[in-house]
Amino acid sequence: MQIEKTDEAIKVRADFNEGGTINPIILKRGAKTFRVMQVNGRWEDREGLYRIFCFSLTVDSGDVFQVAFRPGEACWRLTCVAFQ
Amino acid sequence: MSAGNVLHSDIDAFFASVEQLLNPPLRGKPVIVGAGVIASCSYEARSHGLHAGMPIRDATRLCPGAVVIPGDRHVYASHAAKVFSALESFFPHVETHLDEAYCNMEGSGVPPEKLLEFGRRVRAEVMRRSGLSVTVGIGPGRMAAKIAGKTVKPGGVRAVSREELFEMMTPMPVGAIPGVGFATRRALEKFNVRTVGELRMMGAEALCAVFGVRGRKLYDLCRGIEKSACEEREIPGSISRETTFHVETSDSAEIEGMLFYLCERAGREARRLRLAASAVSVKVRFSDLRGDEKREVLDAPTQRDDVIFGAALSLLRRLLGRRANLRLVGVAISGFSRDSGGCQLDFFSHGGEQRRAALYRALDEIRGRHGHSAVVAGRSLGLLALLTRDCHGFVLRTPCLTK
Ligand SMILES: [Mg+2]
Repeated sequence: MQIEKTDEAIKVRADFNEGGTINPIILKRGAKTFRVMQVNGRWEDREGLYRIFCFSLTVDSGDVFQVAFRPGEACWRLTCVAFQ
Repeated sequence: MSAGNVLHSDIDAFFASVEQLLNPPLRGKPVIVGAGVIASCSYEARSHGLHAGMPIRDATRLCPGAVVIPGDRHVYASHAAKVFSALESFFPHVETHLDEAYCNMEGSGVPPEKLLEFGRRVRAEVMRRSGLSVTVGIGPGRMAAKIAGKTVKPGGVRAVSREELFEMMTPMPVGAIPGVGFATRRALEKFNVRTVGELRMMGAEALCAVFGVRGRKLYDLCRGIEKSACEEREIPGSISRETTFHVETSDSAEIEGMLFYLCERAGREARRLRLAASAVSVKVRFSDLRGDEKREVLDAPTQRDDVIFGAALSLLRRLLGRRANLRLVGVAISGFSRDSGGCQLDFFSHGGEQRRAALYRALDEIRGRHGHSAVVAGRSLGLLALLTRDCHGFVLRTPCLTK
């Protein structure tokens, strides 16, 4: 297994449910598209007062992506990839 | 009797368990978290003889299949918070330390015969809400609860009575008593005291003669008698911040800039805990892995970054006599007293002193709001060209995963 820390913009299609939960469905990194098969974990980080929503996702290639959503900027970042 | 009981919860193989939770292919595999040395490893890794503190180079030789992960303390802190919030659904008072929590059971109304069942319910709820396994110990005090848990790690639940605790502690090494570290152990060895049972043979007067007021506490603790309330946060022995350099260096501006930054981090933590330090120590390690450490006692307790840095800098200059590049630098402040206000209670303090204290309060507030990186000050400005920053501060090569 190879684990790569990174910090890059990534396109994410996600469901924002009424209860406040966010469910990422599809990730697009460069030209490649990945379907989310499983949410392994979700947690919150903080940047000062601002909340960042973080997710660990197993995608259809079998790799595990960690992504973070900043509501203030409405942007998603890819923070870590574990290749199988 | 359940009044006065404490429940202690400890996350099993904390950092490694979080990695296995977030990365399913790691489950069931030996996982090491750390940089340079093991900060935490999974139980699969421990079965190969790996343990915290072991150099990773040796660990991967013993267990070539192990996956090594540098780790991310913010991810771990968020997961510990999930565990603590599950515990808070049972208890009004939860005192937390990294991955451990002491929960005051007073008033919970759990009868003694139901303690074990209650512990299992707490453990299951923590697992349901966080996905993490904890070990639960219950006993008549903080030490009792922690010792009970230690006997059923990982993943167990145990409740002990005062009588059981007394029996259990008899053969244990004195180090099992909280607060008994290397120095106390060595002092006791001079009296041929190595176990708790042997410690009980020393009278209260003898212990007070050797250890002062702490002697009385030791006398009680080795008999399983505790007075400290659960929500009372214990004063830490020291607050330390250290890192290795991305590239080994002898550039004094870089080394002093890093020391300044580490002093700021330690000072901010002391102010957060409302503690004033009376001693500063600096440690260094050179490229040939030889290391050295020096300590200085301050004229008066302080929470001021500039005072801490002033002492640290003079220590650093005394330590840097060798013609070798520096690999690691660290600072620790210790000898704490509680500081009730934001600034020192000093009868001779003048306007300048109070302005400084106000400045640090303002800086802490800005950093609390916008992240530590929001203000880069003093000598650490030089680090801007050398290191990247994230919202939590400079990205160090080997940040301490626990701080
Ligand atoms: Mg633990």
